[in-house]
Amino acid sequence: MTVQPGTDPSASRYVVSVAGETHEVVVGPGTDVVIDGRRHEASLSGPGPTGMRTLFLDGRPGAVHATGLGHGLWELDLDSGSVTVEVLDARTARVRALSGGEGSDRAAAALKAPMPGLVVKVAVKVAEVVEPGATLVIVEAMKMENELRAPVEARVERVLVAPGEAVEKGQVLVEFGEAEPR
Amino acid sequence: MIESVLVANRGEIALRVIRGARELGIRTIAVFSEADRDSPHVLHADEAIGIGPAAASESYLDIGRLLGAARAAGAAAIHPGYGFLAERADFAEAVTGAGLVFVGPSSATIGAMGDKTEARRRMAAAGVPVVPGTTTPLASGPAARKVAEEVGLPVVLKAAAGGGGKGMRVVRVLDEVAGAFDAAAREARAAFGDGSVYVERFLERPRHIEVQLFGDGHGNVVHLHERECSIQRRHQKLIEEAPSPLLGPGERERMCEAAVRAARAVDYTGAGTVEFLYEDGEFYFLEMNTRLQVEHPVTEFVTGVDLVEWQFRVAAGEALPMRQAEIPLRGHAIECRVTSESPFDGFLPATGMVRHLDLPGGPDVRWDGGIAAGNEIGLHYDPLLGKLIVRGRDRASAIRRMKRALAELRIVGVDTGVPLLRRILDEPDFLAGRLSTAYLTEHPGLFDTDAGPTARTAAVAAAALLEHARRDALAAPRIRRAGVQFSDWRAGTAPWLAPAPDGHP
Repeated sequence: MTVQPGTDPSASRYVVSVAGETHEVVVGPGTDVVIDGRRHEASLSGPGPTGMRTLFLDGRPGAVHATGLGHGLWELDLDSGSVTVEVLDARTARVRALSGGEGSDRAAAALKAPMPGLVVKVAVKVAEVVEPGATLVIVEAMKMENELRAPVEARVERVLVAPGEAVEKGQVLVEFGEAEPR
Repeated sequence: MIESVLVANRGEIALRVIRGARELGIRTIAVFSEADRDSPHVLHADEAIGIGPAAASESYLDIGRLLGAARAAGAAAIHPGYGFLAERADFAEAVTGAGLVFVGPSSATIGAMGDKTEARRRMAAAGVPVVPGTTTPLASGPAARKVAEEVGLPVVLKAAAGGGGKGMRVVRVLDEVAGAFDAAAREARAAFGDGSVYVERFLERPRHIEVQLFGDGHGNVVHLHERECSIQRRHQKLIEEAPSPLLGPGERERMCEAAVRAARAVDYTGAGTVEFLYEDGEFYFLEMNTRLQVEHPVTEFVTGVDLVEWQFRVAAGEALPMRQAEIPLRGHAIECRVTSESPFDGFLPATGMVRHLDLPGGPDVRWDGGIAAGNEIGLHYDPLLGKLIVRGRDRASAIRRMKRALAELRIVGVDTGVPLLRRILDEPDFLAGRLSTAYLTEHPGLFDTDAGPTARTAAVAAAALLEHARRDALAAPRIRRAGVQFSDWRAGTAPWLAPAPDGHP
């Protein structure tokens, strides 16, 4: 007998990351879902016409709305709020762990707009060394001024926006270098 | 009664006013910007008129366009709602100048109370206690610094034309007063077109208690008891209730009497609210809002009075339908404001399409909302999506009911403050009525991003099941291809029955 696609035992082992923590998950057989060694009964219905599903977890129903972002990333709206979850099969997770993962330091080296808005003021200049908590840029959104502050002590490498400029969420506003020479 | 009214607003308050007007047989005219074409307030009006692009300055804040729409529709009156032009004396004047009824107080009253420094002067003269500070706008940062030195730190800088926390800065360090003055003036100018700023002593842990007032222009002024609005963030109210959980009967009477005195001092007509800060048994006049408040439904629940109905009756020249002694105070009401903000991400404004909307029901639950499934929530306007209001026989039963209703409320597609509201309704200090405007900063645990083990397990299980099903579907192409011929017809009518083409539902 050949092994049916999708029922390959290795394919139903996953490493699931949410809010910075990873969990070992085995899906199947049947409605069994084992999370970090603990067995649960879980099934998911739907989606209905607006994309709503019901998660039955150990007999408790809960509403779920899911958007697949690709690469195993799922954006979930649960009763507790919305959360992005990454699901990798066990093999991919192992490969990623061996290769050292993806670079994560670069994110800290730039100030990004946390929301779309209008730049009201740029409070720093290139080459300036800023203290943690210093106001860098003021972005107005929904008629409120939001002071974006330096997370750490840093030297301003580049300023990429000017007052009056509209910015998108996630747009890089200021790039930093190290405050002290390496 | 007034024959017709144009509602110069949007969202939940426009719908609330339209509902009140329709119940009185008043023909309703909605206005909408290009961003609001599909909004419920448009759908529920008798007529709807487009007044321009999404930017409020070219639509909801454009007096010329609003008056043009009123003329075109033959409106007899204009109701301003709250926000936008509701507290602009020039708007009230333009409306009456065009021969229409303005549903609100006179432009003179709006002007006097809208200028917060003028209001402070008048209230002090009427014997209503005010917070120490200046009674005139300040010329510059250094001038603000000088006053701050006199009244003592911390101080709060406020826009003279302000409200809702815009143009407001709390300063604890003398050297930062001048910089904060510039920022407050800039924000005030952008929000209200007036950069005047004044200084008050900042009370660290006050409670925000306000009194609902009504005057009819025939010499009658009554109060409809108080509301407690101490749960705030950045001076924006989050949860309001009536009555205040800790105000004693004597204190309640003194405060309500002071509020009536304040209203009489300016010969108040229509619905208004006097806001007080309360600390250590003392209360101080904060400001008077010359309009319907966002949180008016809690007062409606405990008094049985329809405040919008009263607004229209007074605007039509009628006397108030009740005397002071006839206005009841029954049970307890709570309101939660539901905003499109990410509470666990610094309350950043959230955007997105409302993909799914489940509204709570059951006894003594009210939803005043301005959204429908399919609506796009953008950044053009205030983030208030709606308000959930409940009533119970006492505070404990109202809280239980609110928890139940919040559990039923589901808004999918845009982040909201609902998860935070649910946590507050479980928090011991809130349950005990230990409230102050510093409540949220004093309870950082409410903002813990970890939603708890049960929620985490649910997220992990759901995501694993989804990814597993997606891989299953991808790994079985032969089965799918064989089924295409008879599953295609289903895809057209009921897409959820068909397998998703790329495996992503």
